[in-house]
Amino acid sequence: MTAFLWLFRPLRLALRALTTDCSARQLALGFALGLVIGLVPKGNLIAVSLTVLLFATRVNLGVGLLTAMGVSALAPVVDPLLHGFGWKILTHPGVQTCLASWYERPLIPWTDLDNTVVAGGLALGLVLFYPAYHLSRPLFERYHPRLAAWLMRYRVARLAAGGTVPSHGRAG
Amino acid sequence: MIRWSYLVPRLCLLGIAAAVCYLVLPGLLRWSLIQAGQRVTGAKVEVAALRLVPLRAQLQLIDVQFADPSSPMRNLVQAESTVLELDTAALLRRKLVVHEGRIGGVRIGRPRETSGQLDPAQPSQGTAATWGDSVQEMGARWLDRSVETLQTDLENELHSVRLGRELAERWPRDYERLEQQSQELRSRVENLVQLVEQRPPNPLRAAEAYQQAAGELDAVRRQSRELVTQLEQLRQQAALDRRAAAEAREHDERLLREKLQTTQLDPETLSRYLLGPELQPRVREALAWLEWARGFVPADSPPPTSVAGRGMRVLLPGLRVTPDVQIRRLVLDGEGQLNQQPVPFAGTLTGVSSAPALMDQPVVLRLQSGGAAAGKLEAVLDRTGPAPCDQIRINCPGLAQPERQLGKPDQLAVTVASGTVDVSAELELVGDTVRGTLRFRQEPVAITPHVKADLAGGVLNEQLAAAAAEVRQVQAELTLDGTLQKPRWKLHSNLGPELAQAWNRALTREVDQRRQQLAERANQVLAEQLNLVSAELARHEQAVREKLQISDGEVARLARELAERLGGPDKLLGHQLPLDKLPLNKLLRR
Repeated sequence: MTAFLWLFRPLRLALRALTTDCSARQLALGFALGLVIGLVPKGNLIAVSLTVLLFATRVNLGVGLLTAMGVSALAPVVDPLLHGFGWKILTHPGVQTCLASWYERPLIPWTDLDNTVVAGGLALGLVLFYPAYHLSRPLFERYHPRLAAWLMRYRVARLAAGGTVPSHGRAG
Repeated sequence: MIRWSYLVPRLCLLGIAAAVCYLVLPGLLRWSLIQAGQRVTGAKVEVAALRLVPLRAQLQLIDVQFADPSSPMRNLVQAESTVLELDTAALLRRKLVVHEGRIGGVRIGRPRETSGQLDPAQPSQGTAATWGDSVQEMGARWLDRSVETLQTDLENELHSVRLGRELAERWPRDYERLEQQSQELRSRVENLVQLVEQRPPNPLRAAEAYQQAAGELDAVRRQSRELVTQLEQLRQQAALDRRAAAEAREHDERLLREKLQTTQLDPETLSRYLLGPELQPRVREALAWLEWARGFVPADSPPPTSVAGRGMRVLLPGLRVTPDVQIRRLVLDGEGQLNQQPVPFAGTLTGVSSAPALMDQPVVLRLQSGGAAAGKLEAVLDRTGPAPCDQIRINCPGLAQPERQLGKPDQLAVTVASGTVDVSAELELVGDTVRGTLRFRQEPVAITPHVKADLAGGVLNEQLAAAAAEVRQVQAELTLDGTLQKPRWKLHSNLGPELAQAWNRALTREVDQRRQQLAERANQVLAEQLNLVSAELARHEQAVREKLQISDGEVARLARELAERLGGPDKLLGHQLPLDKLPLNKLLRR
């Protein structure tokens, strides 16, 4: 049973995120942060920092991870867009001068900010952060309670959420 | 907003992950090092253990072995211990910089227990460089010509000798034939005499017998004349044979002049023949090292890398691009081998990096050796200019050399006694063009020449030994140019000229002597045969003539007797008996 739960941990986290009592603000912040993480290529200090931020703040972890995974899966599709965006940023003289001076400092080279997709992904993520938060929050406010109630009707969802499973099978 | 209850366990988890990384990282680094090494050398790279000491920013490698791609059962180089001091500030700037390192227990060219070939199906790599010509082949070609000159069996080609043999066979046969014919003639005459002297009682029978005798007598006289003619022909043949002998002598003189020409030995060719096989492999080895270094220290700067295959790096203006991996200074010590003698060495290697073209200084290796091969080596691999430039300088003023043999013992060889040799070399490879000089000097020196047993019977050994005794030093200079794939070289040495002079002198003398011997032999054989022919001719002619004279006397007597008995003496002499006209009645009455 433990092994089964461990294997389906991501699903559990997602179900728990959607069923547990958390605010729409936390869900929206998780979604926005997950979007930024998903757009930035992994394996650099920016991706690591954003992930640490996701884990360290009171945002909804499940929504954040699900969003990050979903957006990362779509990365090959959006890469040309990110590359073009990053290229425009990195070839801007002001940015270049600024970045060149930063790159002389410790840890900055680990950020891979001189890479077009990293720069483009981060910039686009930051640009989309607030709109994503602002637009998703009302949706979460409206649909999260309904979705949670609907999901809690199923034993799998209750099990995943860590709740007790009544003997008659379905809850109210 | 900070979720401490959430953060603390995760920080603990991060700590555990860091600890796991610390345990896993050495293995990962070891694997990366092996893969990178194998990519560069094309042969197996082994690292027994790798330890990471984070507090001292130190990387320790135990028993590193780089297999030799051209000889899989040997190591190109191996090191017992390697300690690399990492620059932590550079690590924070995403650069792996070793500011100081020490490699101890370096061994070069040691045998391996297992094959160092990566793919056993692939054949071992060899040096691709092709030399214009093989020194041994060149020397051997010349020596073969000389040996051929001395060993050619010209006796069978001499016309004089052949004619002499022919005369020795032909003349006895002719004498014998004449003897037989004269003997036969004599027998026929005796039979005639017997026939005539018997006087048959029956007159008719007597007439038949006399008629038969007269016919036989005529045949005998004809045979006698033929024999005289044949004797005359033989005398004429002897004169012809003498003329043929004179022509054969002339032909043989021409032949000997053509065939027994001495090929004057070029001193440089002899130097190449003797010293080339010794010096050429050393230069070839040095070039192979340079070629290997070319692959190890690439001339091109690496292209900007992407992040996990996504996007591209933009070179930021004003930002100095430096290699990702640098080794600023490595202190080396170890042991090599030369002539089965251990050669300890120590030195430094500076300026090594993953992108030498981005460096502002070349890779420099400085080694100082001791023991039997005390000397200095400096290798500079410069990738800072427009074309890659590699230089090797070697200076060994007191290299101990054991006794060695130069050349080929089955032809011409020189044994050089053990001693100390002064060797210096400078090789430069700019782009693909190679040039350099290798100097070699041994003084004092004792050399002993050896000539092939077939040739040593003459004055060659003696002359060469005398010339070799005069040689007080051996010095050679090999100059190299051309390309790495097809280098050309020239060799100058005092050994070649000194020995070549003696060799040429001795060879000329030997060939002259041989020519004279052959001419004398041809003359002797021919003269003997001609004298023999003359003597035998005279003797046999005398014998035949005596027999013919006897026969002629008998024939004359028989002719007279027959004439008397037949009554027509004149007609019997030289003519067939006219039996139809003979007075048979008178004959019958008798």
